[in-house]
Amino acid sequence: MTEKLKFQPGEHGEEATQDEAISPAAGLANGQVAGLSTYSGNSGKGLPREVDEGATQRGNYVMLIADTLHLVLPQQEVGAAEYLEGKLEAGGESGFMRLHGDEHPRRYAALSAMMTLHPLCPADRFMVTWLGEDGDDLGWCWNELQILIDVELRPQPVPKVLLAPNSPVDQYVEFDGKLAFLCNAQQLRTFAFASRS
Amino acid sequence: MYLEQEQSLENVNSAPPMFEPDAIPVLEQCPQVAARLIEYAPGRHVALPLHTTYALIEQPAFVAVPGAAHYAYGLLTWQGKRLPLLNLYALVYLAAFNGFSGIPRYALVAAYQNVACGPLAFGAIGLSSLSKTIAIGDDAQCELPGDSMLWPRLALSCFQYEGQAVPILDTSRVFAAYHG
Repeated sequence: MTEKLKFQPGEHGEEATQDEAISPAAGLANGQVAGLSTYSGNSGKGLPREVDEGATQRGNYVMLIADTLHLVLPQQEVGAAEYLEGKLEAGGESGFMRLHGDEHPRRYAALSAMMTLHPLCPADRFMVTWLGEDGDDLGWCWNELQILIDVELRPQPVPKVLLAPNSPVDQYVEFDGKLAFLCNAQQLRTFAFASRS
Repeated sequence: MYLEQEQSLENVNSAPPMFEPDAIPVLEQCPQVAARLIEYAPGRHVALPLHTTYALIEQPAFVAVPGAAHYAYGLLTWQGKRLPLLNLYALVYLAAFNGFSGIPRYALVAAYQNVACGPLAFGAIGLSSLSKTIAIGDDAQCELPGDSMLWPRLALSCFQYEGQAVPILDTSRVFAAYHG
């Protein structure tokens, strides 16, 4: 029997063929031959699919973008946004920066796409927000920031196999064709600070 | 880009052909079944039950998940779903990614079940080369490799192929839970 593998129609039209030995159906059906398992009761059509429709939640959020990382936080956890008014330089503490020539004791931080702290601020981070607790002097630098007013989100769980014990995110949403992770300020801070060398 | 498996599960799971008693051939060899052989790192292979494999995606695009497991590439988009895309070498050997495993050239989409007879879910394994289909029999069965303590947790069985012990993965064990 020849098994034919082909590229999905409309993509590249290329085709690959592989020879395949005839498989004794009974062996696959009962899962006894060489330990192969099988899915009982499944036919090729009408396969039951894992239900992954999450409950929707409506509210106000802010999408924070750092390189390819998109985070969605509740709006009440994100302070006012500002433009960065100068160049940042390494501060006294690892992972934190200060505005060049600024005598104000504000500190700044910038996340990588993996949600760890950048040692220096990438050149394209123009937006600054303050997160979470009042009085926190730490400004977070972003490429872009979007205010999402009264939007309906449908969170989906990140598959368990991907989640390490200290994973800061466990849900994502699809928004405007982008995948964004749901997060809160505390999770963001805890994970980012833990990444400091 | 997808390489879709044309063979349906109906074919794989269909009942065996019926023979008249006097027509049953005398088999000199052990019955053979087909399996999908994949090279998950240079010179290292595992096999998957053929009916669990659904598609081979070339140059898979995925989104990295912050703080994800050490063996995670991220979330792969396939048929409108987001699937976990894993680096099997990093998983099995508790290894950090290296140059070989930076970005996989292919992703093999496989089905699994979180519970017996439950709905199908899907996951993917990053590959550097195309998979191939081979025939194996019980006479090739062997012990699992002793180079990782995770093989007994991930594999159903093992067979000898071209001088190498090739574990047969249980996709449910691979994709259903975190491997610390």
